[in-house]
Amino acid sequence: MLLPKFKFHEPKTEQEACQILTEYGDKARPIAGGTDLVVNMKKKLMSPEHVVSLSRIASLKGLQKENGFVKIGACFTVADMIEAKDIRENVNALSAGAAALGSPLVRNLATIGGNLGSARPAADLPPPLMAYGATLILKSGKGKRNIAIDDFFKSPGTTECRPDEFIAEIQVLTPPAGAGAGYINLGARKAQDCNIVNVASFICLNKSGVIDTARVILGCVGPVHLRAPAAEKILMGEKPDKVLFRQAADAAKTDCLPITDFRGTGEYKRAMVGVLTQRTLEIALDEAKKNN
Amino acid sequence: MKGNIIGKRIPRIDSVPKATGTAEYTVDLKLPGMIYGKILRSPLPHARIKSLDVSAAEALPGVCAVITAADVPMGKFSFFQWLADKTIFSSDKVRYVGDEVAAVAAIDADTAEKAIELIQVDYDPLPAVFETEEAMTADAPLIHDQESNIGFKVERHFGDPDNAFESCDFVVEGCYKTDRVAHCCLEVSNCVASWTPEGRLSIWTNAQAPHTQRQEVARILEIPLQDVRIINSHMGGGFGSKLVMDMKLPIAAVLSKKTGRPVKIQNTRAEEFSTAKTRYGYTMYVKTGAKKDGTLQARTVRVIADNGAYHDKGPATLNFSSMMFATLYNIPNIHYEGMVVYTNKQMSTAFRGFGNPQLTFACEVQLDELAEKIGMDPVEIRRINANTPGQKLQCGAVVPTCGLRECIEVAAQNIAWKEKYNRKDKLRGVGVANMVHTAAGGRYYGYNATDSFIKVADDGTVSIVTPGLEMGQGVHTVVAMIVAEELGLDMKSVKVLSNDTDLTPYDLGSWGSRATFVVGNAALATAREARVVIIETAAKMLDTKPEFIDLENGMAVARGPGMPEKSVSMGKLAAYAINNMKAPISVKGQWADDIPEDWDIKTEFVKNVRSFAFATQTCEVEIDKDTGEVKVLKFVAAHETGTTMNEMLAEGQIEGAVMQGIGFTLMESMTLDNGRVVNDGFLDYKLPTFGEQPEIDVQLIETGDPHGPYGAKGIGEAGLVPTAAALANAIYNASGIRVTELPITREFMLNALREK
Repeated sequence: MLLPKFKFHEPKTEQEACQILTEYGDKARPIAGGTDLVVNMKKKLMSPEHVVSLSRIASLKGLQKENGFVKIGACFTVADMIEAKDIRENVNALSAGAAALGSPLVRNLATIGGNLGSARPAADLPPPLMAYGATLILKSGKGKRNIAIDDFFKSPGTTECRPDEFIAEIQVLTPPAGAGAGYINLGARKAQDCNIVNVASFICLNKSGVIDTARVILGCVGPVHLRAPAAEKILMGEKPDKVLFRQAADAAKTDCLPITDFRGTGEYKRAMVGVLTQRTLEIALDEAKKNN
Repeated sequence: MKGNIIGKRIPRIDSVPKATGTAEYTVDLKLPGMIYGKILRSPLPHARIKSLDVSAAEALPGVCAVITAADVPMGKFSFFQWLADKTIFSSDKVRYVGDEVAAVAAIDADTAEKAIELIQVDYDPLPAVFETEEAMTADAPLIHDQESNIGFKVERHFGDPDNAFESCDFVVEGCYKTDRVAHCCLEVSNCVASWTPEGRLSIWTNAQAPHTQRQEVARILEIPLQDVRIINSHMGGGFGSKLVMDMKLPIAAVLSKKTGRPVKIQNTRAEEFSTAKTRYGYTMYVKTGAKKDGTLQARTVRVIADNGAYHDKGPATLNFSSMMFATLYNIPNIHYEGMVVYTNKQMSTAFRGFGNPQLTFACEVQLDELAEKIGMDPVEIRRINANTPGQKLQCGAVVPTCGLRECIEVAAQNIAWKEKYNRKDKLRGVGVANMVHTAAGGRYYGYNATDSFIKVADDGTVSIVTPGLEMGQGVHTVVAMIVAEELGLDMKSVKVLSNDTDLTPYDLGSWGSRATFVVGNAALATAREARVVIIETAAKMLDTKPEFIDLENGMAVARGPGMPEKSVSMGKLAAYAINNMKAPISVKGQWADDIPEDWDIKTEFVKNVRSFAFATQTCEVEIDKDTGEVKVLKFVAAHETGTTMNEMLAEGQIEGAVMQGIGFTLMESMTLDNGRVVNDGFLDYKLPTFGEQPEIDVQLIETGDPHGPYGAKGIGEAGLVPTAAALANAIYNASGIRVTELPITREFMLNALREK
């Protein structure tokens, strides 16, 4: 399997990267770990004339906790995300997503920015990031802009990111007291798999123990990761228990559009949306209670 | 047995290069001047070739040669030549997605790939058929110029099953199916061919049977056998997929002859999944009858095996599974009918167990159904019907040693059968299955003999030239252990030379759990010859009698009544033989299977197997009622080894095989879309990984064997033979769901749980 011919650029600063992307526009494609892009190029699904590596830009590799946010550079690797104490202690469901992604070899190369930028509906990092209500910082020669992750994905492989832009940073608000989140991915095997369904849930309990924020995100069952509005509506304003979660899980099954393919029937995927919604809500509740 | 070396936990002699990544496989090979070949394969499952135009490919700069059916001998070929049905390239029609149509050689792999895309082929699509029972219908498209798609049939018959069923108290009948699964060798099929001007064709490849592949290459290219040489390296897995020559060997050879340069052809992983052949999928109609005391009286089976588009090992697979069918239990009335049926899919071939895992799944699941009908514990019905040492079976086979009852006991005990069977809580359950397998390959070639050579160097190193084909199973380590044991050496002092048909004696290769048995026996005979010569030399050197000499710790030591102990190192002794006796120490030893000369495989087919190894596996599973996931909690694999040569190797073989069996049972399947393999990579072909590995308690039962080296039996395949049935039976015990078709996917389990 051949790689199509392309010109390779290795800018050392964000500014340099902006210049290159502005110059080549939609003929260019940023690369970080390359675990998605190179595979797709070999399969001839993509053939950018210019590949712009972001891996030498030191400012994209940071991780900091600042002003109530966990800020993760786009080139922070998935392997490092699993190890990072700031992520594990503040946004644990994101750690779970990172641990579920690929194999150790893939995780050593793959980055958080790449997992979002490639916009695969089965990806492991979008559900927890959407559950936490993360924000993406996009940069270009025209400056930077913030975009809510819910607005980022457009369709499989396409995002809000313009050809002259790159993802610079992901900011996650540290959940307040009473909040918790859970992430579960289901494949045919425990590791190195393409998910059949993946779900993340986030709830926040107010002082009287009532859910005042609920986000349920469904992966693999639509062109992009989906919020589950019917499920969230059932959760809001209620006290959490198994029965409520069961109702939310049933509602989530109506919030998705699974297709039948060789990985599973739509029917099975829909059933699994229910199971994983229930189970991730239970994890979220446990964490919310501990986090009080 | 515990010797100084045999029976010990000895690390593999190739463990350091393999663990550190320095071991060189054939895929790593680069020869000076080497160019790269690539095969153009059919994109359609069944089609006539209307026209073929290679001119654009030939015109591409960097292309050295383009070949089609016009450039190669077009005699038909098959492993069994009397079933020959495949040419090197398809010239008239293609019969599966992947069929070879043309090939190129170019200065690099990129150019070869580009050139392939430039070849224009005009196809006229034909109706295709993918399911065996559909292919057997009168209006099915015919894949070859034959009256039907049934390619081969075999029948075995003992006693009078029809009458016996009449007198049985209980009879069960059912249909069972197993899927086509891939060998998943980590090293893909590949070769480098170099056809030099003097007319010698050397092929470096990962072959499990280099000597028979050498014959196959000569046969298909219509050249003298002496012109062909096959060379192996370290090998990244075989499992049966690399027994019969792949067409890339003659294709690379012709490309090399045309260009005068060595040519490499290597499968991509997608090509490997689509064309490197699969396990024969079996559809089995089975009927079993027993008396109310549980004794089995009659059993019949009709096996329909999925051949794929061309013949390969189908007849041998059917024959072999018929033998195991007749010998697992001593059933007086048996009928076996087997057939291979052509479909428009990639070819099937041998795969660890050779038809036996498929048939054992059906028979051992049905035995549980029968036990339930009788009201008998599954362990008990197996105990009642187990063979015993020395038993002569109704089908004519004799089992000289048999540890099946010990296997059943330990497997039941270690899974805590009594507490766990029928506990009916939390969707947890236990299952059991027995198996028998050859412990010594097969005799169907009509001969089964090999030899090896030993030389002793003046540095004390002992080298053995063996045909033992190392494909990762550890036969070179076993051969070195045998030499070290017999000559009183440590493992470092023994060197194993192999891997080249110009160097090694003739042997049939590594398959059928035969390598330790056959090649090991030859190594043992050779080492014992060497021992005699070494001791005679030492007696001369130390001025004593041979009977006073012993070999230990790299020394020949003389101890006798009234004499002081004297000793000499192996190196000095070898130097003395070379310099003083003018008789360097080098010997030959051989082993030949005493196959009866009047043996007729058709009437006395059970004599194909020299020695049998029995086993019992038990397991515990838990089913997730929400997702349908079957969690395998524990396996106990109690296997008869005769004599355990090396516990580490035996455990590794069985653990690996159980994992392969778990994949076969729960996950693996070739998914096709109009004949094209959809899941042609490790992401979507679900091979289990360490996440799925349960605790595997391997129990090695030493019963000895009258013919094996030190009493050893081969155990290379046995580990996955009963695995599927044990799992399916545990699933029934946990859930009440009787599974008759593999793989048992989560979705299947969830739907079945909901229907209950």
